[in-house]
Amino acid sequence: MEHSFQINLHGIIKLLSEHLYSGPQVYIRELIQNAVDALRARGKREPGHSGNIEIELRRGADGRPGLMIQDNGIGLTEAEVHQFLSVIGKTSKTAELFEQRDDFIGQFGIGLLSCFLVAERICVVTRSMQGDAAAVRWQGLPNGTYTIEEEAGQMAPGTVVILECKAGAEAYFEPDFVLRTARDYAGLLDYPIQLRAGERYTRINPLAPPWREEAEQPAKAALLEFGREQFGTTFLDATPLRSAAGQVAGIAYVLPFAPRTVAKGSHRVYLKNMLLADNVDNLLPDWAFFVRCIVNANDLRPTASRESFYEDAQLHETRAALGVCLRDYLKELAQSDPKRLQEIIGIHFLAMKALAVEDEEFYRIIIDFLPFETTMGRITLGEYKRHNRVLRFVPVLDQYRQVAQVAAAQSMWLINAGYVYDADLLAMHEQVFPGCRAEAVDVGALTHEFTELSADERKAAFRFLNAADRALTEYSCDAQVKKFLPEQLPALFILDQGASFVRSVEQSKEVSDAVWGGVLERLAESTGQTQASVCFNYNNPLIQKLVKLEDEKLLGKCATLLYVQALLLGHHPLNAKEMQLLNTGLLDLIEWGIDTQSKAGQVWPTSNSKLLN
Amino acid sequence: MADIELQIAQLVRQATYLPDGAPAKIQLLEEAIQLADSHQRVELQYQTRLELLSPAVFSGYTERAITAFTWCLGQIDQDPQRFPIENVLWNFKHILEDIADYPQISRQQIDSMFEDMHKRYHDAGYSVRPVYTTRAKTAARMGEIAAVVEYVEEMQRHPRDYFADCAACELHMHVESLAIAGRYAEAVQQAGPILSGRMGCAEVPHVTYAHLLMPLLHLGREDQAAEYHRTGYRLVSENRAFLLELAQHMVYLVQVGEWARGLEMFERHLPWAMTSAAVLQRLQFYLASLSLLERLAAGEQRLKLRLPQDFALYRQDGDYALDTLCTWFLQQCETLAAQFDDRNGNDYYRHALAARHRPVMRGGA
Repeated sequence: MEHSFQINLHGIIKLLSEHLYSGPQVYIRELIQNAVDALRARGKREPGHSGNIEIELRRGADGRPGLMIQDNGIGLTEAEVHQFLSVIGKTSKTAELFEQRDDFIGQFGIGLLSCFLVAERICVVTRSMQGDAAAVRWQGLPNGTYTIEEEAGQMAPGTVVILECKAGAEAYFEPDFVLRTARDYAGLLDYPIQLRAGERYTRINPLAPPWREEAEQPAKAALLEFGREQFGTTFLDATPLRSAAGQVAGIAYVLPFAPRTVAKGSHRVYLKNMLLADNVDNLLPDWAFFVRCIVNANDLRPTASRESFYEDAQLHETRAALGVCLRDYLKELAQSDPKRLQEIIGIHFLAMKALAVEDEEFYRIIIDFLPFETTMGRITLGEYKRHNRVLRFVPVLDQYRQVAQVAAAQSMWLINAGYVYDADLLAMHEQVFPGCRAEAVDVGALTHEFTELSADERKAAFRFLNAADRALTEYSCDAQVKKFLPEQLPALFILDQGASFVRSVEQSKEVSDAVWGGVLERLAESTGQTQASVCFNYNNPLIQKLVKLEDEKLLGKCATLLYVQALLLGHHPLNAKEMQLLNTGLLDLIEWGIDTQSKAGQVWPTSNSKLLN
Repeated sequence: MADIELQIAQLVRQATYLPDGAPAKIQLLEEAIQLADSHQRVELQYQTRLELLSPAVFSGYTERAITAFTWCLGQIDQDPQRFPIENVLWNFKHILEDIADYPQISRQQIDSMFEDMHKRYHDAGYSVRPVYTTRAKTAARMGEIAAVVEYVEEMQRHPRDYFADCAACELHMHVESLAIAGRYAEAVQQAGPILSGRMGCAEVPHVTYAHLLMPLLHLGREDQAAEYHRTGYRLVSENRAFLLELAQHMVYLVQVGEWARGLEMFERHLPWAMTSAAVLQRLQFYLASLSLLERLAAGEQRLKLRLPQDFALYRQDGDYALDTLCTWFLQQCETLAAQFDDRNGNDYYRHALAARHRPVMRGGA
């Protein structure tokens, strides 16, 4: 007897393929899932039942590829067959459709629908294990018609689903493709699945996942071997993962290289032993990107497509619990194998820093092992603390670079906290370790570290400093004189963040029109009190000569040229006025030099002068 | 001199690996600019500035983007053949959508910039649709509710071309305009494709979740609001560019009474609010903080808090008197609200400040 589906099958197929599933290959998963559900249902009623699944690939009489999947599970009665059809018939919206998944019968129907993505005709022959049910054959076509009739013969309880490939979908029935896909999805399933192609039988799921042995901890070597097989990677280390929330068990593998930080961790996750997805990124905390995990969850809610997890309270709890596992693993390493921990940190310090910022307990354990860039080289914070009572750091990368060399020459221990997390980690230090605090160093105040001049020296330098100050006013720059290392550096130009911004604004103003120039002005105004400053070095021989000069005009000129030189040394771009200064200043000096020499009748002392004379 | 090109390329590449919101990302790009500047290589100066624009805006440093942008515009005007305008047209949107956050920029200046944007798009032969999208965003920031809706409608009258916002962003703007106009049910409904995950981009649904929190509470859909808070907060918590959205999450927490979590957010993000040059976002955050602290003050006198060292009332022992904090935040909010209202020519923010404790209707429309 022929019937029709009460639904817009075409529309639903379109819905499935375009908006839900990642591709038609999921039909294999859906078929296997239905078989597994049937086996589990039978197993509940008949404990000890030995369930198995067989997939067979063959060609039909007309040469068309076909796939048959058979299970010895609970089977369906005729009434239940009608039920799944009416279930499908009732729903018309995606949301309703996928609510049916929670019900065994409903899921069966939806699983079948996915087969229409690749099949011309679907046939289900099933015999329920319940009572005296007869075997039933159902055949459905994509045009919406189906037939249902009793099947003669003594079929054992179970279900057989037969698909006939639709034109254009041949690739999805290729034996290699089916094997690969089935293995991907069902490789860890707990019922044996055989794939038969002609006379060749292949077991889809030969391996049992290591976490299935509940009793003892599997050996680390066994975990690493499993990881090698699954991911084709030799990992640095492995640790078991467990969470009561979500009923999660699995393994975390430490990556042997630092992944791109913007790539969130992508983990292979199974739901009730069936692969959910290879790239689940919301099951573990964000900082866990230094591991690749393979886990099975028995009690988490998947989204309608069965390809990721629903963000609900259960998932949050699970995520937190798995985070604790990882954190405890690192804690354990810190105590039992610090060398290995250091090796792992060497590669994954970014993830460690991210975790330490969020988790105070972890911070306490790991902070001394974490590396930082300092003026004394790249060292762990523990090493830094051995030489310093206070953690002195420069929060801005650009500023640190300006002063790193000079600070190093002074043997000042400064930490570069310009990178992500570093400043936060340092700021947290005193909370976790009271008594040892971190101090942000403003490079503008760096000059306070330099040696002050003695009273006599200050008197001697007074005229120079005065002239310099006056000459530099028009460049919005302060002048100071101190003593510092290295001696060869005559002047250091220091720019704090605000002044740096103002400089870049000035530069843009030079080329902008009235509208935008006005806007820039307003932006710069509100930056407030900032000042660039140049610090002349009294240790430098040239400066010592300069302070003896009496010609104030010349002094001013030299000071401004030294100012420009300091800018250049610090890689600060010159604005138009400073460029002009450089050009005219150099030419002036050359002229002055020539004039002075010719006035005094002297020849520049050169190595050739003896010859000339 | 291929060496400097290599150096610059390396800096830029390093920057792309960092997430938006990491301060080092901007610093690396600014270093690249500086390198180009110090060698006076105009092409490189231009290119490195272009690289800075989006990351600076997306990390909450729009003022630096404006500076770089202005320089680029200057170059384009001087030599249109050498520097085609297409490079900056896209970034015009990002620059101007935050412009209202800077109170020192006058109303007139904002209008002039939009006129400039309109002219440049038009003269270059492109649709002016993005101009209206951006105007809508700015109007929302300036509390011009009727204008937001008008601009969104005007936007839809112009064709989409290469420079239009992505579909997700445009849909979000539409949703936001409905939310701001109090049309809550419509806003949630329109947001369907975004909420189901079908549409998304770098900022959507991050911002959508935040903007729908209060509308959902108004509609009595507390469970949904709770879910969007959980999922949405994770998306915005790492990036100071989302300070406004963070404030919205905080307001939500105050309304549902989750004050402990609100305090965590307060401690965590206050440093960003304090140092943000986008002052409007600071105001929003302070306003949310004020609501939270005032609620707490009803039951407690003192609190232990971890606040930044340069906070005006900073205490080493972390032990703060709630009414002192409330007074300070109230003062800040009053000053900033007045500043913005005077600039905008309305009383939107003063009104928001006064109405901060109005309970949200549950189950209303």
